[in-house]
Amino acid sequence: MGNVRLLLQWFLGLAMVVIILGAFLWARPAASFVGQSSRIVFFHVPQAWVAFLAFLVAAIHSGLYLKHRRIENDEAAAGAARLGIVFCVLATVTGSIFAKVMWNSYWNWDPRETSIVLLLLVYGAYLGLRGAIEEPERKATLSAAYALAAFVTVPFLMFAVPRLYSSLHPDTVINARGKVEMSTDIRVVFFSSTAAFTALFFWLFSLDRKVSRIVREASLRHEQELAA
Amino acid sequence: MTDLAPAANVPAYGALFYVAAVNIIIWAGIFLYLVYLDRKVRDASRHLSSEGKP
Repeated sequence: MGNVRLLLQWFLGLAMVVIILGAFLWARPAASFVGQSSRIVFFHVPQAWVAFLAFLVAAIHSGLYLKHRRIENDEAAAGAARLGIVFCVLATVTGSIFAKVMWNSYWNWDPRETSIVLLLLVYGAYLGLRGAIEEPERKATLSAAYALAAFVTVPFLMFAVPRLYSSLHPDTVINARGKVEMSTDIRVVFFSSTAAFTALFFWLFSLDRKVSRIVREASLRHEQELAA
Repeated sequence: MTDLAPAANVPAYGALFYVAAVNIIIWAGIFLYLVYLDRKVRDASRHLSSEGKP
């Protein structure tokens, strides 16, 4: 099992190198974009996708916590939300660089930019809530309820708002006509990058869960030693 | 008189190659750190569970 895991890790490492080479040296720049700016799409969109996935995982584990009351689910929800915020910040920064090239301004309060700020605030408040409550069970219950409510806003802010209002933002991956309109080279690099970022997220997530378990067991042992 | 003309005519893909190389170096650093962290966490996890066994 350990060897398979190591093999998968090295495969991801090499795949990402190939994807970076493909993104900059193989795929052609998209026609409707300024200069080479379309290449950022290979990193920006997968990061936004992973942020969505992470918030979904956080919501699932929050629901599981409320059902089974297992502290592992609470830790997993917190870890996923933390990673979601990291990827959301990365998507915001890369999007902002793209905006500077395309529209000559880092920030335009475009519906897509506004909705990502709201999303960061919603999940920033989640971490704030967790930090504000001392008692573990109360913290886990309130956080789980908040994470479930917070996730209701995610599809609305990430998918509905940019489609409801006119935006500077380029077409979504699945456009208004319900089609993925990309040339083969762009499509290959884009979906490989999305798969690699998804794998990276699950690797980071599993690391976070293991670290949480170690911290929990170590603090439990410390408490037992103090009580003895 | 200072010559302000570029010393060499760098082809457009030169800049892209540079950006790709920088990205690969950053990714390689992150990747190696993740592999290191993964091993460290796995060892600690194994150590902790073997300690807990009677």
